[in-house]
Amino acid sequence: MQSWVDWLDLRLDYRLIRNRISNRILPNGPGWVYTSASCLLWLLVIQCITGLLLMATYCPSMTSAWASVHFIDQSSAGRFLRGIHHYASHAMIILFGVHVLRVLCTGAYRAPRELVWITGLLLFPLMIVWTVTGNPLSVSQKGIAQIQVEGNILGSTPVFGPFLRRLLFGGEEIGSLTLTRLYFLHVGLLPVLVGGLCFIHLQQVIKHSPFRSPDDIEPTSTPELLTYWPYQSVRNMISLAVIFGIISIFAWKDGAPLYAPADPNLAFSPRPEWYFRWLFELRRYFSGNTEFIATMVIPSAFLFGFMAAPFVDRIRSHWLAVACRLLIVVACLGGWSWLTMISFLQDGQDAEYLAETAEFDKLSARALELATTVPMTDKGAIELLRQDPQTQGPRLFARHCLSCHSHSGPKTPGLVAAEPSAPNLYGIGSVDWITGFLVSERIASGEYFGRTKFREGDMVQHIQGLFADDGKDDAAVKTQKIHAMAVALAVEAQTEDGDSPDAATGRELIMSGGGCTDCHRFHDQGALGTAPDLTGYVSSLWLKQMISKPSVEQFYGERNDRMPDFASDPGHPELNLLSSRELDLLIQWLREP
Amino acid sequence: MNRRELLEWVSSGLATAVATVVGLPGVGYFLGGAPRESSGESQFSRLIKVKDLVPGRPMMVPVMGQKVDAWIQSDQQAIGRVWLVRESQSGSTDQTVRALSSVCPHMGCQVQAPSGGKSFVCPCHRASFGADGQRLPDPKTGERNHVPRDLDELECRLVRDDETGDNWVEVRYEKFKTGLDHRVVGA
Repeated sequence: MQSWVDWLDLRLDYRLIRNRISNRILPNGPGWVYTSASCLLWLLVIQCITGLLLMATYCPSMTSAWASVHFIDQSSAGRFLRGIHHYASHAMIILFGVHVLRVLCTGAYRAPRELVWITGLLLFPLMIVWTVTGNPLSVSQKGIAQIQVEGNILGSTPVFGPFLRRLLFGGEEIGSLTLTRLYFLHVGLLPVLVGGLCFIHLQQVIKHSPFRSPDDIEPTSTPELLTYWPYQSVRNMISLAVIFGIISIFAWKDGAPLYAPADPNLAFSPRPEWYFRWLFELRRYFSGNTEFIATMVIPSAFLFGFMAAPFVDRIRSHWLAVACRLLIVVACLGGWSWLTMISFLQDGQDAEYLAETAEFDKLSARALELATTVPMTDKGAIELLRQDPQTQGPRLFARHCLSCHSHSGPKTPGLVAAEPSAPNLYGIGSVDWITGFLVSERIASGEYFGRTKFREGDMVQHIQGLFADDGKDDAAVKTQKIHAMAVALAVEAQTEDGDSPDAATGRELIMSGGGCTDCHRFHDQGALGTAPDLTGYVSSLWLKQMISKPSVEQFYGERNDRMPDFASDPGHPELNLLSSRELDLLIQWLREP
Repeated sequence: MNRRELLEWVSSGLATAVATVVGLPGVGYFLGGAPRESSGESQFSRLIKVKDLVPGRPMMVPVMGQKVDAWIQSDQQAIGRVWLVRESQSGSTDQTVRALSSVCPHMGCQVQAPSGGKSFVCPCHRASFGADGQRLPDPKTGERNHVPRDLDELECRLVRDDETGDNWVEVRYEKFKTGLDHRVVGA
């Protein structure tokens, strides 16, 4: 055994290297303040390992990325690994801040450690870019909206901005190439750059540390002379275990978030991650062409100002130097916290923003639900919400119908028209909704015909006539008859079962006693041309034809009030207000909100 | 030059040559990798019938066209969105429609019209615009608008279809660079 180890050492000199690393002596002996550096290094290693594992499944394509990330999350191990990768990235940024402030406080940047300080500071923006390029990789609405703004911030930098933006986006706009570029940066270029800088950083740290010969006797009486291994290492590992433990709990409990798939049709208010909030807030104090001062000049000034510290800091008096450094630390921390806090407070008071965020969280939850229940097509995750009646219905309704129709009921209390001028469509096709047309108070109300030109039309008068006290039926019998007719029409709408006795009575009444077929057609009774067809009334097909072109004989003909043709031209679908697919989604949602 | 210097010079020169042969195409690869710019004048796109626009109520309409996304080319894709505002009252004969690009000139987010409202708001940094696209101060705080220019108005014309007698809104859709105080065509 020994001979093998010797053979190896003769070739690798590993004992010398190990000795330089593990027998180092820290300025005041081992201490907890030195643990931040080691934690960062090990978290970086963990990031590389978890990232490499995720790469085995992740697919960097605009159509597949979201689905592949969701696929990773389907196994508890994959979900946990992605969670670690996500939360560790946030932990690293916090630790980086702590580490820089620690070095600043102790003045550890002084000669001959200038290069340790400078390479360390250069790692900071690289680390930030690393997380920024990682967030959009899932092609979620949030990630893509963030990189869109970040790319435009880059693009608004004078001179080189537009060029850098085009490099990042792989063109003028976000597209397939953008994702590949982000992936290239995230798993290719940045690891190489960070790895190289880390190597110089660590080489400099070790080179400028005193170390003890392994033959020296252990100095138990002077703790300042204790070696790095194991006296500092044990502290490092305890800190790392605590931090990694917290990360693991988050990763196991919540996993990494996966937001709704990106879709240009979705409105979204992107906000930067918490560590960029101060810049987001700072930007408010500049405008238009001067914004790059906030987004580029100030951060760069900080970075280069800090880098210059070893060359500027020539203060002889120990206490004065300490006071100056502390002042800088407090000012930086205070400014950062202040701007961050204002930004969060402002959003917290913005009701519109909060409503939008809540709405987006609901969308994300719905996308995840659909991803496990609906088959994913080759068009990708974007189709999940686009093909979901529950998601698209209210949007299409708000865009095309809400200017006249409300859709207000228990499930959609918010869909109330500003100036309703047509029937409330909530519960369309249900027995109750149809009953409303047959009850004189209801049909004449604003919920039905009260705000249309049919307000005093034949239908309203006929229903009022039916209710007039003609001495034939008492009220209870009339209610019974109306209910039966409504059930019979709901059978047409395919929301009720056709075999019930009510339905049979209702059909009988529609065709004879109710006088409906005097104006309406109902199967083989009555004629078209005077009122909408009751055959298949508000069934999916009926609604589709009616919404496409209400001004035909089968529906309202020339008596049509103000309802537009939403799809009048089957030959030119691009010129219609609603596509066939949109109509199907809208109708499916209308019938089952 | 002695022999040693010559050999040093040759070694360094050859190494530089090899590095250049890899490096130059490497740079060119990124410079030339951008997809083809759309060439020529942008065309008018027929968007919607005038009668389908409610006066005073902004409506967002997608502009369909051919989209080139790196190596994927697809037809009938939304290449952009415009806000259409019909200004005249429904009874009036003179029909004017204003078309505004939905892209905020600040950071390129999609400008929204809060339901029922007649103004526009960009959700990214809460910038308000009037129905004509003019920048307005923040209605809540009175803070000045930090967007560098007003919403981009697009060339818009009304065309009568003689077959059906419908009046159509046609818009020449263009993209302008964001973050500048004047309009420059380009995404």
